[in-house]
Amino acid sequence: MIHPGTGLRFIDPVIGFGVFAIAPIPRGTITWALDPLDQVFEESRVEELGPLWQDWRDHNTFCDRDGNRILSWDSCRSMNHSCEPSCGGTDLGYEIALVDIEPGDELTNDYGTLHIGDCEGFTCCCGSPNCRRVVSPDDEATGRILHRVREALLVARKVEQPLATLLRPDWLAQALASVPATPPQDVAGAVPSAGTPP
Amino acid sequence: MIHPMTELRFVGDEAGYGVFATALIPRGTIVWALDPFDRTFDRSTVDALPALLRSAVLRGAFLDPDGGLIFCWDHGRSMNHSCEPSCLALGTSFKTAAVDLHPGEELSSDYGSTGVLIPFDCLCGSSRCRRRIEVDAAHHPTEFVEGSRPSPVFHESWEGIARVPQPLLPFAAPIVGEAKLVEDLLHHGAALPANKARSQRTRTSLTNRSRANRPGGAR
Repeated sequence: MIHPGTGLRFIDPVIGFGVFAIAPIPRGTITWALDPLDQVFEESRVEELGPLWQDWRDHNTFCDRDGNRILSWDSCRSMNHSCEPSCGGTDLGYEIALVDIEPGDELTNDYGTLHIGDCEGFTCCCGSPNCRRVVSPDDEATGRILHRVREALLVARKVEQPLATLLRPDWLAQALASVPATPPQDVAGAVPSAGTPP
Repeated sequence: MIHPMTELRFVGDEAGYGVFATALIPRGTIVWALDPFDRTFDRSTVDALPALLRSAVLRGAFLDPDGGLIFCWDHGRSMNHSCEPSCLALGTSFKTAAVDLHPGEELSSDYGSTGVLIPFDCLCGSSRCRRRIEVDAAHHPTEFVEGSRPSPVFHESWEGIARVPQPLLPFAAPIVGEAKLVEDLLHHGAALPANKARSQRTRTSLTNRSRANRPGGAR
């Protein structure tokens, strides 16, 4: 489910819709979490339905690391790519705000960090100074985002988490264990605990 | 699945989003069809969901005749209510355009006929507005199909159904089989004015069930 402090907004006929903050969403806030209304299914289910559904799949679903397709039920399907994204997450079943997102700011992620196939690459027009122009599966971008995800996780306890009920009780510890550790000098003494700034 | 020539558009703070035509959708076109990715939940499953998700389902779902909650995966669930709707429910698997829908016109349905879960005060502004909209067996699609409340506009939309392109039929076909689907649709249309006695019985049982399923009702 997408963060409740967001809304859909039409951008233009090329990009279509995007997801925008309607309330402040501080860095470290979970902005999307996989939930029981999202459908996860094997690729073969789409193949059984026939060729008509393959185009549908490409437009409406994304892949997890096991090659399963995920069909989200809400507006998170409309989250756009940016080469300088405001949210990041990858394989963890959630996304987190990498920056302080103000009302009116768009929520974006880096499609290069998702499990897009080679054929799903596209030409980017995000306008960011760091725009890669052609977006395809990108290990370098993934590493960079994961580093920022970890930094955002370290402040996650200090911000309101409206989606907390959709997460496992031990989500934060699990999440921190699943993203590569930052070089020790960067996080010395930064074991997060409630109310203690890293 | 909602018709491909539609889009979400923000209507206002009261109504939220609505579904609008982006091209001409002729009367008789199937504008929504139940597809393999729409889900039907039973009430206990929905009650067990975290509050955020439960309220999303109760806002967006409609009732099938067995009391199941049909929750569309796409913006089909953002179709707003009107007491003078531009679309009509045919059973719980289809909605058709009751009028020619021109680009920019809103697709609406009568929530009384689609089994609204949360009663509300209507602001549709129609001269036929019922003001208070709640689960209403008299407006349920089963009753429409079985002819208890035949409406001229309903008959008219049936006449168009075989004559206009039906882009959604292939998507609904995996559930029921396309040929059978068209046959059933046309059969139901032809059978509209009959079966009065049977529909009376259905109405009674449906009313009881609807009450039991009203939010906060039987828990």
